Amino acid sequence: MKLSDCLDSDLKRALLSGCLRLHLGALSLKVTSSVPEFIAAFSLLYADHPVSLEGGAFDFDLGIRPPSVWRRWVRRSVTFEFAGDAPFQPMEVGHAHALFEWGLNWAIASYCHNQLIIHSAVLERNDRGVLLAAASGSGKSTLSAELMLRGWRLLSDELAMIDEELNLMPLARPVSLKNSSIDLIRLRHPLADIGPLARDTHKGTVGLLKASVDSIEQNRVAVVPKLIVFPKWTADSPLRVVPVGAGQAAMRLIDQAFNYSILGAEGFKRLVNLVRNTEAWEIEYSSLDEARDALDALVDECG
Amino acid sequence: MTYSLVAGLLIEPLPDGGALVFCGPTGSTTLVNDEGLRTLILLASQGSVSFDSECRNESGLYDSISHEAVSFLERSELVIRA
Repeated sequence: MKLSDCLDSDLKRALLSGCLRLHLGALSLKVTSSVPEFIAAFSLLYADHPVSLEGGAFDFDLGIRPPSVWRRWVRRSVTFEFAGDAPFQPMEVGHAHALFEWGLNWAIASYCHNQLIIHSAVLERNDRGVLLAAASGSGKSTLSAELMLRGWRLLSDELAMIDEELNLMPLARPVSLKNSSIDLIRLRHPLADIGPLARDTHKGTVGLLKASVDSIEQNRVAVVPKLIVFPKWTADSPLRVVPVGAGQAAMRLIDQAFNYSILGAEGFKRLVNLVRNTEAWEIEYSSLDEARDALDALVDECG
Repeated sequence: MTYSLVAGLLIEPLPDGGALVFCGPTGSTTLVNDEGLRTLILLASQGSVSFDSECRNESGLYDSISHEAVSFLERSELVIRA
């Protein structure tokens, strides 16, 4: 059942009692919280995701909770908990939903070592998987949001998960928009569902964009990668699209990989297979329309 | 100078030239060009190689390998014993 099919009272009870399971691609997450601000944002952003309210097996035990009693009197804040531990400092209650996403990214990158995990958005069009690999601040989430809202399927705006068969594993969940990209996407897509803004975070203002229904419904369908793109947003830059050699692409992906060194030779083999079976390009742009058109053309032309 | 490679190198030539090299002992990955690849293959196949000028001139075996390639490999994180 979808989260939006649940009665509010049932959902709150399941979140409070630890019986809620959020099904996110191949992962099943136990999510626990009693924080009203988090529950409201979670209900909006994950409305179309499958959940169950009867407990059961889970991969990760995640919680958003008020911190210790004395801290509640200092400032209203929340803690991200992973299996009962709090790996991060508490944050303002208004950041709870962003903290959940960051905590989930951390959990996946720290524990899912059956996958090669690269800091990259992943999208799909015409059954062709596309990695948008770049460091934070290069505009990949904004570009991912634009592509998703124009009909591309989103697999992730943050983590490319590559299995031993070289499949890209889907993990469609909210897209993390930052600062001016929030208004940009709102202007271009007035009907887009963006959750409450988390202001003054260490990344500035964060707005989470709900994943498209189509992306969520295909969250168990893996995709074969065909294209690696290194996007770079630069103010006032004309569109520049240049090929990247396989070796250079591999070295750039290593820079963005979370667990390459942990996987050792297996990670190397997976990476070599990836760059041998894909084309790699660098796109520098200032116009989202131009970048989208260029990506459409690259996807159409790749094998 | 005689060079040798430790065991555990994975060498994967690439379709557009050069190769990716994974060094098991250090876990590092290095991108080498065609010349570096030839040098590595030579090192790997011979076990150890002595790059003295007399040998280079007489046998012609190392004609395609420059000191730059050897120097690059020495500076890389591949484990090369000199």
